[in-house]
Amino acid sequence: MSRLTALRTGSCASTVRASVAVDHRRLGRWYLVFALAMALWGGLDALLLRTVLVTPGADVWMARTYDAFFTTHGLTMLFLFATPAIWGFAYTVVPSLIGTDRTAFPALGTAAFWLLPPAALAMRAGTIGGLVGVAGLEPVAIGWTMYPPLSTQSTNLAVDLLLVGLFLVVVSTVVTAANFVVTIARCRTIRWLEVDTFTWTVLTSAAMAILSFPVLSFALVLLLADRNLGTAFFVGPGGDPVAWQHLFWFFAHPQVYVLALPPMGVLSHVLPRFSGRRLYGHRSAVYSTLAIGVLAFTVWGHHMFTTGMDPRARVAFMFVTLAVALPSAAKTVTWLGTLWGGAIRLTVPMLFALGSIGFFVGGGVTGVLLAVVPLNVVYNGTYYVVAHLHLMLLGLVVFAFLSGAYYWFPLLTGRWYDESLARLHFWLTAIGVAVTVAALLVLGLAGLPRRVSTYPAAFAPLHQLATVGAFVVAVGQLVFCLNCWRSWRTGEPAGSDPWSLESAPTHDREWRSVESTATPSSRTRDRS
Amino acid sequence: MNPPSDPSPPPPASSPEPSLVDRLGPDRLVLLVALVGFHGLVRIAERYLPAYVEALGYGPVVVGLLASLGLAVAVGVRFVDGESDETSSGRRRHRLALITTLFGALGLLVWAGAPTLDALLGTPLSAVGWLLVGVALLGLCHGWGPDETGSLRGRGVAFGGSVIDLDAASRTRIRTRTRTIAAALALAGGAVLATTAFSGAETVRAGFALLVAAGSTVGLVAAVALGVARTASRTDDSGSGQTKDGSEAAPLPSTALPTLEDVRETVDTLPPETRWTVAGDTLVRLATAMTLPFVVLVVVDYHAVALTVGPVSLPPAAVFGPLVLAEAVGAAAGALAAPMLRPRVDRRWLLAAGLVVPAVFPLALVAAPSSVAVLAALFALVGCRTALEPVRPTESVVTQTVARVRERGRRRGRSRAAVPETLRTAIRVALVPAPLLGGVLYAIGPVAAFSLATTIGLLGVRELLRPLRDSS
Repeated sequence: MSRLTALRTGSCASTVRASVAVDHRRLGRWYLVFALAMALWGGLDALLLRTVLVTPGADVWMARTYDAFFTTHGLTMLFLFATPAIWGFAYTVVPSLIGTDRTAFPALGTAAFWLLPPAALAMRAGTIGGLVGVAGLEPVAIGWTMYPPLSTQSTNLAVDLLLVGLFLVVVSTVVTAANFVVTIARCRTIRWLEVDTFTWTVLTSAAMAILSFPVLSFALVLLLADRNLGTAFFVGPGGDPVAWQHLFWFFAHPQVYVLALPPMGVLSHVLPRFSGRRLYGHRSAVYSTLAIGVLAFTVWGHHMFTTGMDPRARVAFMFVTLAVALPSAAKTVTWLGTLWGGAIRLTVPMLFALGSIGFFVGGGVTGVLLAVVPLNVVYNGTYYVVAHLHLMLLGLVVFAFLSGAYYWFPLLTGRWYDESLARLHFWLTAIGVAVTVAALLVLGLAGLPRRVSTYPAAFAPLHQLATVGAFVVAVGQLVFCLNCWRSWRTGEPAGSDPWSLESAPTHDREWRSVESTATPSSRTRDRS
Repeated sequence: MNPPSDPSPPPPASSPEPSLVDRLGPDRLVLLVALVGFHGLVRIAERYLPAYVEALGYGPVVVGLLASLGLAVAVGVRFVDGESDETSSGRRRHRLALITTLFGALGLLVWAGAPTLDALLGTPLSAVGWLLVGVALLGLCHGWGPDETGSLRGRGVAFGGSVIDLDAASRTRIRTRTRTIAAALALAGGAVLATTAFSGAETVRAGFALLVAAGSTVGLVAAVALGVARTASRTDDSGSGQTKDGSEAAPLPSTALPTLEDVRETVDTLPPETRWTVAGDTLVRLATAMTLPFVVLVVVDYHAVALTVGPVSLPPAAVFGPLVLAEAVGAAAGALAAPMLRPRVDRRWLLAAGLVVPAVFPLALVAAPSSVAVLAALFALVGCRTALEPVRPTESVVTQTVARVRERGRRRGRSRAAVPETLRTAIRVALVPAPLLGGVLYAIGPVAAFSLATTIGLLGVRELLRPLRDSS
């Protein structure tokens, strides 16, 4: 009996120890699993809202249901999937890449992670309450940008919980970002010149997050006050709804780059490994990262060209936004230069990296056009913006994440993934995204307004095509989950040099930590 | 300072016998599931199409026209395919299968968009025109695309001969049964999804759009999986006409359209008992082809049965889903029971008894009380006809079965002739206008149309019974 008690006590103790573990790679795995779970939840929202759009009338679900899916999809994907996924990859490899075996504030980093589950529950309280039937908790339908007066007029308690949850995300993100800035600045054992591009992008993103997320927290507090304390910051006498837009977009546009830079770093990390060459223009890649980091804080106004902004300010914002295209183009040149003349191995990480570059070019071209004031005025409220956003976030960011996920899968699990399933995953995702985004782009060019659950019947075929593409993407992600689950359990053991890079000029430090654990049966995979 | 956790998982557990996933490979398992799902959704969409056409404002004649075009495309595909099959390589056949699967996915989308595609593209086709385009695309998919088990007209396109490692004869028998059960499962899955779609949507058009969007998605997934599976294997490119395991492929049908003279000569060469059997089976098929497209209309409009189960209430269009589910369950049961019945019951009696059900079904359907339970029982009963499908003389997949029967008969000193391909082709061509005729009759009155169909079906059963009656 006492033995059983001791066992239980030991088990509890080990569980508690595991939950406050400070091992960076384990923390990275937690972040990635959390991000994957949230991606599935947010993805389900996307599928449901796409289902509403199969028919031109609101005859599948009510318009309000569409608004709720639309709201939670955006918020979940941005704050609970993409941002944690970045920290997941960063925790997994950055300490190893800079030659240290821990972060600067390991316990604080773990605590920041544990803020996310309650934040997610608070943010999704409306959905949960709606499903379970909790009185007063209804799905939040204020749009993911939370513009007043819609967000201040809603009497739904879930809106307050959403704002509180977002505040917790802000705290978690700022703490994590600070951890990375200090870790990279103070704990590295290599010189700045030796720091790789992925680490540079994480450093830049972390610094941007430290500067931009507090602005969101400030805006959230003001909004909470307007809703609950009778203040009038955004609505009412003396209040200005456009002030919310300024605060929100001053945070949100840098946030786009917080999300985009580390995936760009992943691409710069993966491409040379399967091109048999060093990264072309390493220094240019670093400078372009820093340039994007600075310029990102100067372009928020292009989201507000239609709010009655001073024409001179609009022109200024237009030129600054166009200027972002330069460092972005520099990155593309870096990647293409790396591929040019290289001994390319079309592994699954490489396929996703190439797909990511392709979608990034599409997103960049559509983005440049949106920066131009006359075009922005026409297309700002249409599906063109939805297409551009998804080219960047789904095409660039998610594809780069998946490239990194496959590249580091042996590092994260010690096993190989199933190659055939991974290729199927790639093609389903690539074709699904291409179909969806193409349909959305055509809808936008035809001038169809976004954020509305009903539309003229003539657009039904294009919406149906977009929905089919979205569901194909979803099937692809189910294949990915199946592959992860199966490979984690029964995949072939991977060695310390799974990609046969030891003799290549691009062998990196992250793999050295597993060299000692390689078993004799561990295998490399050198498939093209 | 804590060292990074090292991923040192335990070695994978070894299983003594490879599972289905290991034998197929997970990517091919995904392909198999996608193909089963796609076929199920296509078949349920085809069953619902008449209700959708009616919701668009067209009558039963248009429904019959669409169904007739579908049959015509199926006949046409066989002629074109027969020419190319002998020389086409595995890679070409695979590419064709992939493209036609894409056609299938596109065809479903075209159906969904039929009412509005003219407005979007500026074409003058009208909704009927686009529905016809969809029928043609799906007809190509049926003709050249892979079936539920990944096989293309009896040859393993996706899996070669590696799925079931048996000798060729056993594989043929098992594959026929497996295919029937897979088709039943696919239809059951499609029926469940259709019930959900039509109960969630407020209109038939919306429900149908959801259904075909789901079908199109699964079709696209199947096409991608087909492409990836092929890229991974890169085998079966010899074009030698052999299957992967080296056995000879099934004989291909003749490619020339038979003239009336050919048909007459062929009929003259048949022994009388075979002639009666073929005539009887053809009449039952004619009756079925005349009525099958309109069954959904009888359920939705004529009976207009709704169903309430607890908090869920199903409108008539959604109720048709559970009825098809009952039919699928009956089909699976029939396919499972067939091997047990065949050695015990004389083939001809089995055929006659089995064909009475589809022959009587039309009249029974319109005469039955408007009760979901009664209708479900009728559908389940008619689904059981799969028990006799392998022994139907006009069924193309039973060439070898008939040949085996003939061989056994010859050994016993009796002569039985297999049905020549010329005659089967002629029967297929003759069935093409049947749905159109059924549509015209249905426009006059459902009871009249379904009563006439039952009369024709019972005439067929009478022909089937002639040799038995004469011999007794």
